[in-house]
Amino acid sequence: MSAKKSKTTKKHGKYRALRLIVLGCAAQAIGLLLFINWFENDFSKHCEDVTEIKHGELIQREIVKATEEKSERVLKLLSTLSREDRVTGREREKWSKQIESSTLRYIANLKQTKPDSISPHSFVKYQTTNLSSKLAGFESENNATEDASLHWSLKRVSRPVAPIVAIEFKQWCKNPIDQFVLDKMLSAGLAPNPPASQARLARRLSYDLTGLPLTQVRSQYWSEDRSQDPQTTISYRNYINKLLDNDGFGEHWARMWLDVAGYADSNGYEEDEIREKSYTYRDFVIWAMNNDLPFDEFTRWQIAGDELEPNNAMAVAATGFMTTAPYNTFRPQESERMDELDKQVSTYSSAILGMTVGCARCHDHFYDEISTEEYYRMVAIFSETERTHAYLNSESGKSYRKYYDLVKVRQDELDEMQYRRLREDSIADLENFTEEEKNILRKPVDPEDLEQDRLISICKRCLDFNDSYLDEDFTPLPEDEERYEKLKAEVHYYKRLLPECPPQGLTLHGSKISKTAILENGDLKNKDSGDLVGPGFLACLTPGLDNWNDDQWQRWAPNESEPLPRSALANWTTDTTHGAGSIVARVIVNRLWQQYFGRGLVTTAGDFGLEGDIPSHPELLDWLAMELIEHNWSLKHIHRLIITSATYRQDSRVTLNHMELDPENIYLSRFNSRRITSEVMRDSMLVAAGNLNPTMYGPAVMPPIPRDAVFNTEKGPEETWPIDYEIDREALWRRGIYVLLRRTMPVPVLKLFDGTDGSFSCQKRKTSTLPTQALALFNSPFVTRQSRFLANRILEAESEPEQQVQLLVRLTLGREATSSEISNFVEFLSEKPAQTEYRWKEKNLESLCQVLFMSNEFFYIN
Amino acid sequence: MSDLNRSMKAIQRREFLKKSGGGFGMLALSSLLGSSQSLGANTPISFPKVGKAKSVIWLFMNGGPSGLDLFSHKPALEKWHDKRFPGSIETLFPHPGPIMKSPFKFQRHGESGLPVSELYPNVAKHVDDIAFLNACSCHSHNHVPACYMVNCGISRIGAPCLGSWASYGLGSGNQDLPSFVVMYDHRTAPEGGANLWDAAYLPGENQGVPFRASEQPILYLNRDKNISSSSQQKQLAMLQKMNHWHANQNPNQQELLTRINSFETAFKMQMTAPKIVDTSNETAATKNLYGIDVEESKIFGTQLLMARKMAEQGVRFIQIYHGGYKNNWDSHGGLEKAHRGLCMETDKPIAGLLQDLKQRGLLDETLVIWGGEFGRTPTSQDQNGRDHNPYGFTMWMAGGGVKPGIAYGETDELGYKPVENEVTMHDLHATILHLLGLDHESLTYRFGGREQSLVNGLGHVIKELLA
Repeated sequence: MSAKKSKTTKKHGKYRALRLIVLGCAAQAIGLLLFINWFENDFSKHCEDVTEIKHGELIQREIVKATEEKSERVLKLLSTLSREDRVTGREREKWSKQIESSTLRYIANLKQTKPDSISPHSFVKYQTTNLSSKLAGFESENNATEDASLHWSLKRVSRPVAPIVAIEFKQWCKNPIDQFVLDKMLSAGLAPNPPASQARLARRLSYDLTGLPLTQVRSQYWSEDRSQDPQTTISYRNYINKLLDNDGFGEHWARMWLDVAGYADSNGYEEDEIREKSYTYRDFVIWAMNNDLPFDEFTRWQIAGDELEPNNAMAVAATGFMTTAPYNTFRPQESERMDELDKQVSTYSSAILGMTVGCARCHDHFYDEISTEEYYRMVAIFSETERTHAYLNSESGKSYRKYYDLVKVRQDELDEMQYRRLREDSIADLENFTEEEKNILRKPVDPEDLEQDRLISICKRCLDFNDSYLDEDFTPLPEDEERYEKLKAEVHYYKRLLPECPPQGLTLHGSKISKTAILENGDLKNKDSGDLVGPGFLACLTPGLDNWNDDQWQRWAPNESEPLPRSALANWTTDTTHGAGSIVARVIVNRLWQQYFGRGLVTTAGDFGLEGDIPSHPELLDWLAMELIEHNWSLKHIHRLIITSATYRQDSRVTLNHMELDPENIYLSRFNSRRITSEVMRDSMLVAAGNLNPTMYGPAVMPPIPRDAVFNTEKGPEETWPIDYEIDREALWRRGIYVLLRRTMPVPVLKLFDGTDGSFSCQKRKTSTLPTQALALFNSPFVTRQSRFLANRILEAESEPEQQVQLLVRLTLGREATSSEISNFVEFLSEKPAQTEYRWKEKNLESLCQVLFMSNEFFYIN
Repeated sequence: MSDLNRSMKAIQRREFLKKSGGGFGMLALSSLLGSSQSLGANTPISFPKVGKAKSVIWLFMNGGPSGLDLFSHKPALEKWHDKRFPGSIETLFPHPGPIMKSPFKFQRHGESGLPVSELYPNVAKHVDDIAFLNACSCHSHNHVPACYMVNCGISRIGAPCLGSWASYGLGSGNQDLPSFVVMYDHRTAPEGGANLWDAAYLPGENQGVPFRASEQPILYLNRDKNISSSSQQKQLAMLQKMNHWHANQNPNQQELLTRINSFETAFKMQMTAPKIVDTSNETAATKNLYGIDVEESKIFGTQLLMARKMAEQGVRFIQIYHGGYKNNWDSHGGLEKAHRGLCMETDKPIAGLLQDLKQRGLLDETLVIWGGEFGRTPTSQDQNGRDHNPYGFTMWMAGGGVKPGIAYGETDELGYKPVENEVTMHDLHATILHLLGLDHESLTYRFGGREQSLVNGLGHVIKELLA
């Protein structure tokens, strides 16, 4: 730690390379823009109706504003600002990072890109050309009848026949899901709950599909009667389609996948640096969910998008999935690299395969048929890869790179010159050293030279330089002077030619085939004695294959002449005939089910192995998996099936009979009421207060947190994270998924309500109920401020207390207030405090708004 | 499926069914001071054995204190002073300097005659209560991975820490306070942040709750200055009325009732929690005992006094970090001055805590642990500092059923690596759980495809340390 302090004693220059890029990028300063934005009051209109949120155009609008009106508006603004506001404005600017124009273009592009406009699926090509011939011999072994004793999840998925239901329940069933569910439910002695009311179901759907509350209260949301005029009524199916097409859908469902991927925006450990451009992966997931990218393609891109479709920005960004593991950057050790590889392999296998491969790091898996050898074969696939900031579009990347390199090679030489200067100055200044000793130090470092080693150990700290010591300008040593002038001029020349920097993302890179040593007990000490193994996948998920050799993986490689292990893994993963496709389909449909019902058909969503739970409805699980595979892996198809089912549409009422026969609701004879997640809580308050900023994609925001909650304050809390709540305005009021997730310091309000901190692949959010949560709702500035905004919103719209409370209930709970609520709330509003306070009526309303924010009804979906 | 596994499933199912039970504040309304009637009501697993220790106070000397300059006296360092280390030595920074003798004088103390350096004159008075572990190892050179190893038994993030396991195993001892409390120097928090006291996959109520020796001991405890207590009380009444309407419409949902109770507790905590931090009613003698009356030791002394009060009131696990991002024990250079200052800050408070616990008859049921994430090398760095040594370092324990007045384990004559009775962090964890009456092999939680535990079969209880 103290070593690090010296490192930072010298100021700027740390992000030299980055600065170089920024310089070349003709950066359009948008920090000020956000500043302007905050003054705009038209945001409240965005949230009138959840199905009508317009996410589009916003960015374009910002760009137009930036170029046309910037200077004029800024001048106007500054003249109207009070002194205090100016301080806040500066504070704001500090935290609203300048968004490069390339980032804005990236966001605009993202919105226009559709999966259809992308080249044909790489996998389809590969299947028709290569697979049949390559796996010919394989096929016949494979046709042998499947071993009946196989663990259920390892069997190939096939379509089960839905049970026939008794005539009196025919009406109830909306689709085959209901037949499977009903069959089990009746045999457990239970009957389905009546359907939920439209109001309740509308709210449930809004939350389940978009993660946003219902904000418009209607007497009827859709028509059950098909004979009615389609011009004036809307069917349940169309109602659902509107929600599925809403941009909020991707933002909500991406969170589920990011939890599983263990995504966070920082490295973790000692330094816990914010990861530059990590958001491109988050954006890819939102984009994929919204555009219903087929799940098999979604999976393959995350493993090897850069190899399969190098010219497709989305496919390249998808590999961010493999970069989510935390890693230590402060004097990292080899074992930590092994930890990172482990996290990559474990996250991949648990998230996608539903297999806990990590156990095999030290020993053959106790329960599942996964050997240590197979584990290290998986590690070998990734051992030569690296995290890198890649250009998402390789073409524009190349032309940029050409000029960038011309600058970089010269800049590097200049840096070397500067190091020589620093070293020489430092040696010359040494006290208590003879000139002879100084000359020994001036020589290049030679580990054999014991005298030099001794001298270095004494004065090492004064000779240890890194790029944080570098300055923009310096005086070179006399012998370097001539070269210095030439280089300076050239750097200047090429920088002018540098085109705008194309968008970059945090991605995985590297396609080398390599071997890894099997480490006994997972211990690096056994590295030299361990056998070397090449890439390979899991035999237990490869029908007809018991043992891997170093070459078998090539059967899945799309390109025979140049086989790449990650591409092969990607293809194997989604191969429903010869690879893991069956389990992949089961795992993802189960994850969707778990989100809707709070309980998966398999309760261990990340473990379908022998130690995992067995499915409560195995046939239903397989039926859904087949539906997914046969409908081109469309997740929206599965969403639609689930939410149109009668099972989903049941009421959530719990009876004593339920409590006795099925307290956990395994048989699904009711809807499970559920608490909203931390992000949904934040978003719902913002929506109710009319404050949600619907801007999609791009760099994450850092909303202020209490000073007490700021850790790692090497630079003091003020420099680590914003703590001034006055800056919490529109620009930061974006959805929870865009809030920066720093591993050692998650935003407390979100973490308290069981938000994830990306330290492991989170299969399901916990729901703890704690007094510290209640304290946060009582006293956190976020909640009290949003209550105030909500009160203001209501005051502007209504002047009569009765209307005010009606509007309040509509905005927060998505329904009409009951008469007893109205009378109670109006009484609350009219109660004068003992000592008459200034604005007491307004304060009462603010207080009541907060009550609604805290209430159980606000927090539970039922 | 094994029997054990089945029984674990039953436990987790039970946990699900009585979600209300988990965590502090669930039954609410029991008084803060001296509440113990609900003990065990929400213990997830009942263990037949009862440990001697009811709570743990862990004094975490963040940054890696130098045992060689405090408790592990190595006369050979004098002989080897300024000479190169014989053989190879692993250090974090390359080019280790020559061996450095301790700049401090050692003296034997108490009936046990155990050595303590001049830096800890007050702690030295208690050696007869202490068991020194002189050959600890954590095998991780870097601060944060080592901190994770010491806390969670693994050198990376994602596993629950010892405090969370203890809280999970024992349940809450006081409905109005968290069962696991963390305190750190308010000036700078330790690196590694919230992951150091994370419950990871264990239920949320086992999360460490940071407590500050300030006007706002718990985050969000204090009301906005514009909101009065009476108006919040009014708010609470309205809220609970609404919640009851809602619960009546949605019967048989325990979670809703649990949440209703959590608001009552929270409201009450606003009055009761500050009492823990309030030292204004303490006598001058107490303040003197904990060194609160001296500027250097004021913060740490106050924290230890709070810790004692919490332990008394049923908090299970209290971890206090001394030293954060700055002002920590990481003396790569200028060790003499730095360690002298750090010991000034901690000596009196630690001695005061031990004495106070003893006076009150609480030492037998309170386990006090002292140590950092690793120790420091016999070789010098930057002429007058020491580098990290994760292979052989000193920690100590006192009270809670630990054998007093002994030194267990030994490093080589230069204090680099263990030669006898090495104590890994897994052994340490197994032993601490044992002292709390918990069996490290059966205290498990199902996650990620297997029964997870803190020790994972990698360590064993050190019988020699048990009284």
